[in-house]
Amino acid sequence: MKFPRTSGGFYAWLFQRLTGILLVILLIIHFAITHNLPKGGEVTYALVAPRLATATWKVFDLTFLVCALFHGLNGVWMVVQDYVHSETAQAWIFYALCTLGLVLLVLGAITVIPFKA
Amino acid sequence: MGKFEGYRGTFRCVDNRWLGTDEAKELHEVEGVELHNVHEHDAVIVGAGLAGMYAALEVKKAGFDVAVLTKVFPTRSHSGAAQGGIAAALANLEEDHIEWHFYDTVKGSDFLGDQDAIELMVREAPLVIFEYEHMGVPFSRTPEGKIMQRYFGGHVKDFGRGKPVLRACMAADRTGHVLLHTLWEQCVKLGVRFYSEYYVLSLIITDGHCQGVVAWDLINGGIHVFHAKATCFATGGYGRAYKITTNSHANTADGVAMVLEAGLPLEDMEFVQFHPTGIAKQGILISEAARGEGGYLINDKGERFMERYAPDKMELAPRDIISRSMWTEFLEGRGIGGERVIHLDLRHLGADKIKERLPQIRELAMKFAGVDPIDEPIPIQPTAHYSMGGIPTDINCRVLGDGKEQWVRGFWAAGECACVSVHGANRLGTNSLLDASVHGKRAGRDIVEYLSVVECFEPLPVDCARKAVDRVNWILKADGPERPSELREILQDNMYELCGVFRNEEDLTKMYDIIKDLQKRYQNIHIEDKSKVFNTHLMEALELGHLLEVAEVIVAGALNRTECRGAHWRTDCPGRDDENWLKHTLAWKTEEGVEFDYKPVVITRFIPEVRKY
Amino acid sequence: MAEYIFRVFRYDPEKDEGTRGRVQEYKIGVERGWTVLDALNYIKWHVDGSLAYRRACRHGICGSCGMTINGKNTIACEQQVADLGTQVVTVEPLRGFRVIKDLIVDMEPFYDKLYAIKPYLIAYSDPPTDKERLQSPEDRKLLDGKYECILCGCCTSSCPTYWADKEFLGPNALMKAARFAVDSRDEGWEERVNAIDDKHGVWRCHTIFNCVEACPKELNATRAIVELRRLMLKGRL
Ligand SMILES: Cc1cc2nc3c(=O)[nH]c(=O)nc-3n(C[C@H](O)[C@H](O)[C@H](O)COP(=O)(O)OP(=O)(O)OC[C@H]3O[C@@H](n4cnc5c(N)ncnc54)[C@H](O)[C@@H]3O)c2cc1C
Ligand code: HEM
Ligand code: SF4
Ligand code: SF4
Ligand code: FES
Repeated sequence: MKFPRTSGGFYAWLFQRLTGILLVILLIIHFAITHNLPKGGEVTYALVAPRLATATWKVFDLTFLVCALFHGLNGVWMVVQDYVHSETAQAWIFYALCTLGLVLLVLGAITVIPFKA
Repeated sequence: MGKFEGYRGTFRCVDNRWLGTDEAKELHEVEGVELHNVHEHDAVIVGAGLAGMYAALEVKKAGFDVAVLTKVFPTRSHSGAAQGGIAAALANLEEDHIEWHFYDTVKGSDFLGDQDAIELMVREAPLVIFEYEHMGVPFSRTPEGKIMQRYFGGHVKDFGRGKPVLRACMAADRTGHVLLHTLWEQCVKLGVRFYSEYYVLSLIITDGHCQGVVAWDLINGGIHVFHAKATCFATGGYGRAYKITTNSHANTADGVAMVLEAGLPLEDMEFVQFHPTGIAKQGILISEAARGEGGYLINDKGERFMERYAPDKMELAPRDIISRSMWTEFLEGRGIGGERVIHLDLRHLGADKIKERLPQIRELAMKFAGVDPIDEPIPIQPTAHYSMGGIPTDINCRVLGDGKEQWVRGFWAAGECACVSVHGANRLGTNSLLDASVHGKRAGRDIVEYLSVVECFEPLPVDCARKAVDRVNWILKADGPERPSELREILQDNMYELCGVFRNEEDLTKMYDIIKDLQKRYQNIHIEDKSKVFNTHLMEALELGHLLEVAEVIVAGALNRTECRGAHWRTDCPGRDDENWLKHTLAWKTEEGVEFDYKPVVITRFIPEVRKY
Repeated sequence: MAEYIFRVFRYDPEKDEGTRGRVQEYKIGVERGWTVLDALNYIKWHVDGSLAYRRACRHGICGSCGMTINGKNTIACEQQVADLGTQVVTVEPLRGFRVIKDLIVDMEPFYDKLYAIKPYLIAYSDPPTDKERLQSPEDRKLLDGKYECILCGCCTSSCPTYWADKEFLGPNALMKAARFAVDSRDEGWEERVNAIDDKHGVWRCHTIFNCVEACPKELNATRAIVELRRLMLKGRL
């Protein structure tokens, strides 16, 4: 089994950076709103639930999820490429990471999307 | 073409190379060497400095199979150490003419240079520089984008009458480095075959015909034979005969010593140039660029003492004159602190100029003398720098078996190991990179012409490797009491003192006896590394053997030449003696010692006059 | 003269085959101004002639003497012993390469990486005859910090990615590629880019800066790699 290459790693590299930048932005927003940083108040279900039910917040969380998953797994993939040299093993790991990513994405999506307050 | 006609078809041709055929075996059978260690190449070049690689490029470009043998990886050759520049009358910044360069070189040589060869070299100079540029050399540039040039000692306008001229093409102060790396890159591009870290041991010459070399594979050990139609030596200089030298540890006279051993003569070996500005104790070169950019030489009294010796050119006078001026200052007690040290002062140039124009010199001073030239002067002392003499060749770089006209067929030499002679008794700065490049190229071209008429390999003499094998085995087994390193130190220390900037009969005779004694002691050496793999101790012992042979010729030549000319300065024989000594020395080694013959200097245009700056 | 102990890595393939080598101690007096190479020379010439290491120019231009001194890669001939600040000096061969003997390593893989990126000027347009090509001083300046490399191997030998992936081109070859990429005379980008844009190429660098710290010529391979990436980004978008 061989890993079908489209480039030497350009896209992996590029999207690692893009998602990295996005993560910084998303994280700041996430902390600012979810943890209510400016006011420092207590976080309760009553406070959070209505927000989680809005469409905007669902889109935000999904983007966050996709970015984090891609970034984390792609990061692992980059490390794998340094240390695992067999093409076959690389391909197995690649597809395993993809599967893991998909599973986690689906899990995340079914938690986020149907949420009602 | 006609000049090679006689060689066509004289010998049987074998096309199927050496791969196991009976015929090939017949052709390549060598006693003591396994058949798979016998290599066949159209041309074998020994040395991967500028001269060697330029020759290799020319041969490869013409489609022939060329191999380059070198004892260090190509980019580690000593050409890379050259800082200042390479001369060519490009006139990129101001008026300059090939004729002026011609005159300066002749005058610099103290009229001992052969003028036909010099003229060829200075005419080809611009073409070689442009070719270098086309290969990709990152020269420094003028505001219009042309190749940058700087001043260098001895290069002046108007047939020696004018002011210094901007003639040295440069790449900051890494000129040799960029030329060497670029040549190597081009060799890689064309697929030149390198045998890197092969130490060449001897030439295969029978009846005035050269058929290749015998070499020791440093990494794996073992003797290899290189069977070639054309062999070219480009093994560089031999500054390591001296204690204080600018030369690399690898510049140990191997090539010239092998030529001596083959019973061939060497030319003008008594001329060894001392560079005035070596870092004190280390010998590491502070390039003339430091003076070219306006540095001062200061003695213990704080005087710019060059006023007394070369009032017009001052610090830009040729090296031999400055070295002697310094030595005179020493002898008269004006060395810094009474020692053999002078100060090179750059402080007035200012931090910006030093940083921009002389970055490497600053780095060297800081790393090896522990001074920052922006704040402090650099302590310097004369250091053995360049060997004008070498293997006698004609203008096409063919090695002359009698030193005069008889070519050793199949054998060329170029670069510092050769003596064409373009430098005569003294080389001008920046002319030797030029010499190595032009003559490397010329040798390459001549080899191509030769190869295009000589189609055949001739059978090797079966015993061609015997001497080399015996010598290596002898050293590996030797268990005498002497340490090669100790003998070498005695040689180097004494050469610097007794056969250096100033010479006289008494010192030279003493030196000659020392060498004879060392040669005897050399028979009783031992080495501590007996292994085959990368035996650097074996290599040092072989190198010492070569140095001892060649030092003998240098000293004998210096004793023999009873005059002062260029770099050769006999305090007991004042003045240049054109009547008796306007001629090249040819020296052979025989059982009895060194034997001499002479050949006239080729004078085509400039009649010898007093050399004054 | 100060006393120093040199702990030098020794490996003789004919005797130490199968072992990981040994360490030999030499106690020697070091004069003021000596570099580590001077000290090794002293050992070789006066104490133990069997010690093997490469050296040639002894002033930092030939790149022969790259080694690991007190854990840091550098060229021995430029490292003042006094500047190390320790009385015990460890000297080891460059890591990441196969040891041939003592301090001598097999540099072939290192050169192979260079060959892979076509380390020579590629120009299709004919240069002017009997003239140089013009290049403005500004364009020439782009080469500064890239062309001075002496191929000592210190950088690639210090690169963690190279330790993990021996096929990684490494900082040296990538910097060489950048040297040609930014040369106004070069037209070989298309030919070179495939080697750089490889799974063992420019994307494998993790910007760890080890190579920058190791380079005795103070060259910044990491910056060169970033420049290469920027060029590739431009080419793609
Ligand atoms: C510090 C310094 C600065 C200089 N600056 C300038 C300058 O600014 N301008 C200028 O014009 N000139 C300068 N020169 C002089 C100039 O650099 C040399 O004369 C020139 O480079 C010699 O080139 P080459 O090709 O003949 O030999 P090298 O470059 O010395 O090459 C010799 C080659 O021969 C090989 N070799 C030797 N023996 C053997 C053997 N037994 N077996 C196999 N291979 C062998 C070596 O491996 C090496 O590859 C300088 C010299 C020095 C030392
Ligand atoms: C603050 C937001 C983040 C930014 C700006 C960021 C940025 C980056 C960048 C630029 C890289 C590439 C480094 C390289 O060249 O190798 C990277 C790699 C990586 N990131 Fe992030 N990252 C962030 C958050 C995260 C998070 C939250 C995780 C965990 C899931 C993560 C996991 C990884 C992994 C595993 C790697 C690969 C490691 C490597 O290649 O050396 N990152 N990150
Ligand atoms: S910056 Fe890149 S090339 Fe340099 S050491 Fe780190 S990973 Fe290697
Ligand atoms: S970049 Fe620096 S460390 Fe690397 S090979 Fe070149 S000079 Fe040596
Ligand atoms: S000996 Fe040349 S770089 Fe150290």
